[in-house]
Amino acid sequence: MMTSTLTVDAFAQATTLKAAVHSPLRIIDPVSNVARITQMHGYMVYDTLFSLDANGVPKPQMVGEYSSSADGKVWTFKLRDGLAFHDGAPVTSEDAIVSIERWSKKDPMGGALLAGGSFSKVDDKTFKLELSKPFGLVLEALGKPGTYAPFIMPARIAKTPHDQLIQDATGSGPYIFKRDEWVPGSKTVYVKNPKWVSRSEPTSFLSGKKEANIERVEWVSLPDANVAMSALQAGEIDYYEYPPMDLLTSLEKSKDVKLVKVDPVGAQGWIRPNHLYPPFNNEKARQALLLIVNQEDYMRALGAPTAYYHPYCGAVFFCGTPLASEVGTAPYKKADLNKAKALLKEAGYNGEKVVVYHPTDVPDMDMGAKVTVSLMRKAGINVETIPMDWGTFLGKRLNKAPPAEGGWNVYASLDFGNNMMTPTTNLSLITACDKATAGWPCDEEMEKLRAAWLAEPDAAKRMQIVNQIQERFYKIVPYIPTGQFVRPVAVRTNISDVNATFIPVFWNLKKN
Amino acid sequence: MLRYILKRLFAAVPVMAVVALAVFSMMYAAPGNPAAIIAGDTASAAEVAAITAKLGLDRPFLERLWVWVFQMLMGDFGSSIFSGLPVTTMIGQAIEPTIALTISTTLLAIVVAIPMGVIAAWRVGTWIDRYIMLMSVAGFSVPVFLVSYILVFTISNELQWLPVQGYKPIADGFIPFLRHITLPTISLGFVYIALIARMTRAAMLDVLSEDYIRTARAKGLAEGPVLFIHALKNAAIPIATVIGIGIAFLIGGVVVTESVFAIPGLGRLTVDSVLRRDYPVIQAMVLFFAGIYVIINLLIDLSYALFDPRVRY
Amino acid sequence: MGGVLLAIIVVLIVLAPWIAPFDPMEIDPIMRLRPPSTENLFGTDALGRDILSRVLWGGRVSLFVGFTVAVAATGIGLSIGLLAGYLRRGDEVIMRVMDGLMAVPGILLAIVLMTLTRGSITAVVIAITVPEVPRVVRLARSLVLSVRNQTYVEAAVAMGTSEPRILVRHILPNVAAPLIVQATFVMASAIMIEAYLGFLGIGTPPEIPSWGNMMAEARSTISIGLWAMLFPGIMLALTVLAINLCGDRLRDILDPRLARRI
Repeated sequence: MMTSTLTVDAFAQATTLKAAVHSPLRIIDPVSNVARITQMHGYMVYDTLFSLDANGVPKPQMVGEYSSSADGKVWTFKLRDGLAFHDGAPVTSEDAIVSIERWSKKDPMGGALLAGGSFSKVDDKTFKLELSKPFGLVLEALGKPGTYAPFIMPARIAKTPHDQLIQDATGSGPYIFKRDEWVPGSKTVYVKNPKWVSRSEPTSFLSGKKEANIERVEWVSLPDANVAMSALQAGEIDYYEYPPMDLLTSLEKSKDVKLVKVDPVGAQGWIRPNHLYPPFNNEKARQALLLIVNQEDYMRALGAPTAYYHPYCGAVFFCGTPLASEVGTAPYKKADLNKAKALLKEAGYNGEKVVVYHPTDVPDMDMGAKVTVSLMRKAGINVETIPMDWGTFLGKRLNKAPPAEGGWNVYASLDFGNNMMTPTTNLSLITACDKATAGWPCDEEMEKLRAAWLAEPDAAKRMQIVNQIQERFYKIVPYIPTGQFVRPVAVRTNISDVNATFIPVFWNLKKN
Repeated sequence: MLRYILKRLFAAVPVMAVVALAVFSMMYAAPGNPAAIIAGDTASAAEVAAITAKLGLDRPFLERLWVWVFQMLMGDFGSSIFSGLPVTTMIGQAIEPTIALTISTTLLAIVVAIPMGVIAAWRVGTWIDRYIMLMSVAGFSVPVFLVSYILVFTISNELQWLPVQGYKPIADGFIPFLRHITLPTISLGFVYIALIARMTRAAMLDVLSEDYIRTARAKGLAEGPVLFIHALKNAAIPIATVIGIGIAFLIGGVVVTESVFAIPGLGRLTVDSVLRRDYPVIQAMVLFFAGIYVIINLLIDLSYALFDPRVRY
Repeated sequence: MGGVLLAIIVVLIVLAPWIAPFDPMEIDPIMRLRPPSTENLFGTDALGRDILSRVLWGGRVSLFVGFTVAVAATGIGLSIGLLAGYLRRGDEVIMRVMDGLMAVPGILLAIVLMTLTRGSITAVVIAITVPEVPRVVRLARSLVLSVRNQTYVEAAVAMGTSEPRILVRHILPNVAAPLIVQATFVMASAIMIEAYLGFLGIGTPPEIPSWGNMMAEARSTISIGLWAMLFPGIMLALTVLAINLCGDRLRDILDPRLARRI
């Protein structure tokens, strides 16, 4: 009797994985919402037509066979056999087309792809893409990782307008979302999809074999970092997705816990100046900000141990990525307050008030703002900070009014490599004036270069364009990078096969 | 009695209306926009505007107020802007942990505080009295989260007696429930114990000077029965009042405790909704809290009849 | 005892500009999270700022918030209480509005108000004052009502004494004592709520050091830099304790009748 109960218990234990995630899941639509947790949810329940491998090369995922015409204008895709949604319905080419179309309305890469082409159904499993002119990155777009990933949903759900949230998380991915156990704000539960058919190629990054080994995955939100760390050390949770950099050393030392770099590229902090108003409507003043920033100050303030950050990274598309470049960074590697002051003077800055928006309830942004304000003051800038919660910030940031009338001059933020590592997906690099994101940089030259990169089919030439973009970046300074760091996940030592995937995924993981 | 209850409930209607209007207006005036949160931090103004329109948040004040009130009268409290789950479902999920925490804290406080107060009153003016009173003032003075951290680091981390965080429903077994709720209960209990102990002492002092206590003592009754039966029964009304006030107070206190111990209760749900401008949830939550407040006050008044036979409704 | 303790704290805080060893805002990431030493008696925080200096300066903010809220809540509460209880104007409406405000847990109301009026220390004072007002109104009104029916007040009215004179000569002196006692408790509670708002990340602007802000900032590093939370925490606890003890003492002196109550 005794032994059998124990085995059952051990079994139940071994097949549930509890993970403390950085934020609770509140929105389940990964196409309409850019929150990282919503992207993680996307990878649990959905699958994509293509997925990137470790070298950034797109590999077929839901697609079995595909071909393109010699001129690169017609592409044919055939879904592989046995694909089914969680409700049992088979995945059809219509589902794929409607999903891609909805995605393309949100994603810049998808938008560019469908601007010059359209999808049509050939049969239930086959569909084709016809382009008016060749597009260099068809497969890269269909396998795009991270924010706005082209997840395939049932057509009935994907028909929802792109600016309205979907409410049904039926997908064809390795895990099924348990809506009845979902407590938005604290707990999300997934169970293994029994109908899931993995590919057989070896796992590489997001491509290849994806096996759901854990029966049940529970995401919990532990708002208190030290409580989360204690819970991991005590074995109450198995996986701590977002430990503060400050706690890495303690975590490294604790027994039964190991750190894994799931996202080898990591995140970059950046400062966004408002390009509409003085002083930062003048590129000299923005270059001055480059000279004010001492990246190591930011990294230390985050508490990052030296092994987890770059002392200096000026690569617009992140250090350690295929597009990493040093072009244009030389003058800015060392902070130089005197030079910065001189540039500010040249830009006509004369002690006017500079307004900094400061979101206080997101720890990383809070820290970024504090260091930025302190450095700006050291450079003689007359800073006024306006503290606010993140919800207010997201709304007020879009306010184009002059800083003296409720607008802003500067804010500090950060984003992940999987979003910012290409000229198209790096949304803060858009310099399309009114159409750009908050900050509204305006530069035709940069827009041309970004478009050229996307249209260029040849990889070597694309890299040349990247260098040109970076050169331009350091002249017009759309934003100021404040340093790149990697935040590993902390897991119990009995958890294995935690692979590098950019965004944390829970397939292939084993609990021993 | 029933008439009295109905009358009181009817009198609560204007209170609830004031609360509803106040919260609605504050949410309307608050900067920030849930559409901007959905669109995320790289969205353009046009995208945000489109989502705002889809959510109906660009409508005029009176129209939005009317839609909300009308739907409520039809029994529909709306759904979360983000999760799409009905507000009633979300409150339903969060209610058990908070109620469990409130009840356990109240029980702990009563069990500890009433004897403290009675003993202090019995030994009024002595060092025992002064010590107990100092302890209870100190209970007011330490922030709840500081107590929580100290408990987590000693009891859970060092001694490993109890789990660090989380909540287990009673349905999962009483022992796991108890193990998870003990630390939050103690951290929340400090303030509450202090409050009740002080009130018990004060009420007991009033009663102990009454004639019938002297009579009881003169009759040779032992101190124990005199204090805990005769006197305490007559001191019950102010104590019940303060317990009731304390419950309303606790609901505020859970905000911090739930955040430290990761308890998925009403406090966290409210803060989360306020910070993300999830209007339907905030509005329903505040009404819900106000409703609880009204009911608790009614129960306090009804309890007077229980403790004092002279009171009739 | 409370008085002595409070006096010491107030003196230290008033002297902050002269006795604080460092600039409380000076960020130095290299010096971060140093444990208490002879150089930094209370250690440094996660941005390398000196905690002793911040505790001293921060006390000004915490005490300012506590004192302003106590004065504002008592002033407003007394005015409304007089309006309702003495002049009997809008009594019914006022009390229903007060009931409504009281029905919302104070900290939640403060959180909602903070999202509304963010950005300054004034916003914090308002957010904490509003939930305190109804309690003061209730107390003031019930005191006024009971004094109003005393024979000496009725006599004064009969003798044709003017209303303002009755207010100043008879009503106010008789309601003052319990309200002053209540104000000390409001002050203690305001200091605590400032800390809770800071803890939730929506309190006093981060530019201004306050005990609440300091503890909130220390939250994520508590396991490696306990001192960053402990020192402001101890100071806050001592201050609130001292104020509460003073309140108790004041009540014993001013109002022996009330001494029996809470």
